[in-house]
Amino acid sequence: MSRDPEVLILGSRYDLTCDFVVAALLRKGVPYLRLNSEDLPTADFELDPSAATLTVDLAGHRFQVSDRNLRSVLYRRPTFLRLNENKTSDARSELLRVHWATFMRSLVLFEGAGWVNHPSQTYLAEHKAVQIRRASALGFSVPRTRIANTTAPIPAVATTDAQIVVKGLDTVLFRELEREVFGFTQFVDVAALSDDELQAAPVIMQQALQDKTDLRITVVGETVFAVEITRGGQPIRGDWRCASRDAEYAPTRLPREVENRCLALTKSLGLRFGAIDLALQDGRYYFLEINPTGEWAWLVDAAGLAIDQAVADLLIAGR
Amino acid sequence: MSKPAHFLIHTAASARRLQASLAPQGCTYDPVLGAWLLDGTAVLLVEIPDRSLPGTKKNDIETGEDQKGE
Repeated sequence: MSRDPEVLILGSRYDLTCDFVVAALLRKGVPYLRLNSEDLPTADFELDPSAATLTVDLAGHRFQVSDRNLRSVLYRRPTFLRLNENKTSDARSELLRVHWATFMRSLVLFEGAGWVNHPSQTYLAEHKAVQIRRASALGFSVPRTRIANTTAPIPAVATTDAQIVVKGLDTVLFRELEREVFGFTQFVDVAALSDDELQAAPVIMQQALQDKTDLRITVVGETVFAVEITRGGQPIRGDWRCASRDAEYAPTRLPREVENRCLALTKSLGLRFGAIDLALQDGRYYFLEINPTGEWAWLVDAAGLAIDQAVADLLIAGR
Repeated sequence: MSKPAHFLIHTAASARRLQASLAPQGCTYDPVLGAWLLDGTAVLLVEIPDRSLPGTKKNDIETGEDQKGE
């Protein structure tokens, strides 16, 4: 295999989604290089920013990356760093964490490559307020939504509904001592919410769609994979991820106009890949959110969808 | 008087103990190949039928977006 990679994978050693892409590229005989955040300090790097060339000496092998040979970059790393008080804060750890992350992002200097997705577009697209605005403009039905830190918007969101959805503006993930705590979307009785428990940080409040069927849509380039998520053949109440171990994932077809909206939304956000959550209620498809770095590997087996092949084909196609 | 816990904190119910290692059991990572292999073989973990993949932060489903801060 040529050592000049045509695909660059920027990920984490423990991100098995990257393994699926590697397997697909191997089957197609396409040379690639995978760089993981954890492994960067163990390799030797030389980046010439004027010539836009990168030389990597990794485990006794040399790789040369340049616009001449590079078709695409699969970018599955953060677009910005969060402060986390529970992390080790010694100088060396901080230095490595910040500077290697910046180094990875610096590889956007390979402007001739097709990025899946470009970090600047992922940064924009991760903002739920932006997603909802774009989805609404494209004609998606969207649940009534407010972002607030008081209960004042509840009447506008819930109207006569007894329940309302409350979720984080960002991923709700905490580390407490030795445990990891994650927050799912909550369906809450309207009367149970108080200003005191919202004041400190804003949340998303959204119309609660009851008796809905969840759909996960994976957009890869111009290809749309749609999956219906049920449990025991029935729709799942609340956040389907709470029941993910027992859920069934069945390929389905979207109406043409909904499929086109999914493609248009992904493009509108400057993305070439997107994982979209929809909810089907009374025959209407509601947009919930799009994730520029959403997972899909579990659907390869669970739903029998060749998303790994599609991602590899997109990377091989280049820009 | 202390303030009540924020809604998102007191409703964050899913919890698991942090793992000492995220490495898939019985596998070795090949840095040049860029993938996990079954120990002592050239077999890719993800190409083993009926493999059991390691758990992730959100119950085996979602990882990418919640590693944004890592």
